[in-house]
Amino acid sequence: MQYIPPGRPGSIVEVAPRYENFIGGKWLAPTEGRYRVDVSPVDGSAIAEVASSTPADVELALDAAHAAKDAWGEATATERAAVLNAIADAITANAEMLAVAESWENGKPVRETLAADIPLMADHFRYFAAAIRAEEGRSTEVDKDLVAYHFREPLGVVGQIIPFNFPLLMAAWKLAPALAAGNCSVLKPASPTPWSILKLAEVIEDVVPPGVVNIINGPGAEIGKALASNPRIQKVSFTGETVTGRLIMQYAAQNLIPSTVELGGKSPNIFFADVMDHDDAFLDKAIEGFVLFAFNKGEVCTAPSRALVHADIYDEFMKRALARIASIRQGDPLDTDTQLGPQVSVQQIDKIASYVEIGRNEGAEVLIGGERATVAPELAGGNYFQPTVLKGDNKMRVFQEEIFGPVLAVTTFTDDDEALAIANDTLYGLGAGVWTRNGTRAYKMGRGIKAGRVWTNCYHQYPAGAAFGGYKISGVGRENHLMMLDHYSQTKNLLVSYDDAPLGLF
Amino acid sequence: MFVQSGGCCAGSTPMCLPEGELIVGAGDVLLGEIDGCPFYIDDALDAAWRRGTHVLDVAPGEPEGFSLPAGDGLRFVTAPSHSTERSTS
Repeated sequence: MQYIPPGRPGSIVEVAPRYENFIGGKWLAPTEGRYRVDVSPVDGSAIAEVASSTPADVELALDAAHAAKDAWGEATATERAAVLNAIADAITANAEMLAVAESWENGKPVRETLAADIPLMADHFRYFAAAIRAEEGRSTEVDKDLVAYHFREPLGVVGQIIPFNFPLLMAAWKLAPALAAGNCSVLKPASPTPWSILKLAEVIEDVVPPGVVNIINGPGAEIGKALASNPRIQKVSFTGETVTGRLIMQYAAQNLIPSTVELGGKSPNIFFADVMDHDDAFLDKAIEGFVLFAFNKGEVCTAPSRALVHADIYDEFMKRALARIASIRQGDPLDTDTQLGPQVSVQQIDKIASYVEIGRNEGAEVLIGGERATVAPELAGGNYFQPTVLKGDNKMRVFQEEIFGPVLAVTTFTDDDEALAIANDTLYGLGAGVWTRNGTRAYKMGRGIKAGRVWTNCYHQYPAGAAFGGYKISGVGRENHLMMLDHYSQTKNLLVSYDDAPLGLF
Repeated sequence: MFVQSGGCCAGSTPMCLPEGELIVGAGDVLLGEIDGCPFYIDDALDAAWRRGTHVLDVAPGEPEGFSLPAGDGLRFVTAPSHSTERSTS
């Protein structure tokens, strides 16, 4: 099935000529009246004008959030959960529209947004609605007449800066726990993907109390900084690259507020020899797991971008894997048969091409791909790169730095110790994959890999309830789990004496 | 000041920041100066990049992350240099 691009006759997605900021439940024009044209990576065509805000707009959003925070923070868990469930219902009711909008702006295949991004968003809000309903404070009987009561209280207003690779799902990952815990949010979308989140705002504006969710668009250097360094936020969270991550933590330190950051990875995907013990469904699944480097065109913080294949099976395993890669259908992401769409921006595809060149110059062997992809003439303005596999060794730059494209670096190992050493020879520690029929090996490797998430005999699943976050420089904090409620609340302790007798000190 | 970034999304991009915006730590290496502007890279990232030489260039497009633009509609990019002398240029 082929979806019609948003805004064109017959499309299920309406597009206004211009989108303002969403502040205090209203659509407010940016103070200085500046806009930027948002472009689709599918064919390079303009989608709409989107606000290019300034720090004054950040202050307006913070005004609205602060005006809303007391009522929202005092709302019962039942009431907050009802709003989160209403958001989930609204997303579900508009799932196809949001899926097409997300695909058009980001370039990800619509089969992914239909099957994963949008359903996962709705489920994420439902998960945190359930979590906050089931949440209980704790009390401790310190002694017979002295009791410590612990209550979870909201932080207040939080700043949230989200990435371009999963604009809607990452917004849900950040908004759901913040709102569940009783906070109001000022959210800044990534500059390449400001629009789909505004379509989300249209969908949920009638069910979210004004000021609880505020969305402002504009350049990171101006409004990202103005938000993250603002003394009127009580927490900041960010997903992106390492220097901005350091700036976020630095601003948080200067304001003495907490921060959580997720900064990417260079995740190893390890295939032990026993995966080829049988030619069965599991082997087929493992081959697919290898090819998942191309999922979401490789624009995934946890992309399995380093494959480690046991030397004994390398030739036969790679023969099958490369055949699977060669059959990837690349092109218009609004076609439900498309498996690989365009990179999100010119900046990204330029970087990817540069890294493949770096790999070649380092002596890596291009096993497949390596070039910009040729696509249909009507898509010539888009950013398409072939799924690419580079063979080399783990010291090469293409094995060490996140390329954020459909580019896999593959190498071999000869025993478990070497596999673990290569897996951990990286600055990052966000994700990893382990593929084996041996349960003991799977457990030991999983515990030995220094990464926050080790997919075992699977990859790229993101169910709510499975904690997600980084070791090493991949970040601080976790997402996607009810422990997020800790990241978005503070503990109030009432230490209460039920003893009338004085201490006797004075 | 310039600081070489790593990691996801806009990773690998040189971030151009107001002077002194990022607090430089003991783990940052000063690679050189461009027209009086220092260029830093994290020591571990520098090692992962094999302590190579780099060319700071500009390209069309908006800056990413919290980086300042390189001019109207331009951004900074880092490219490997084929020079063997360790410096920025």
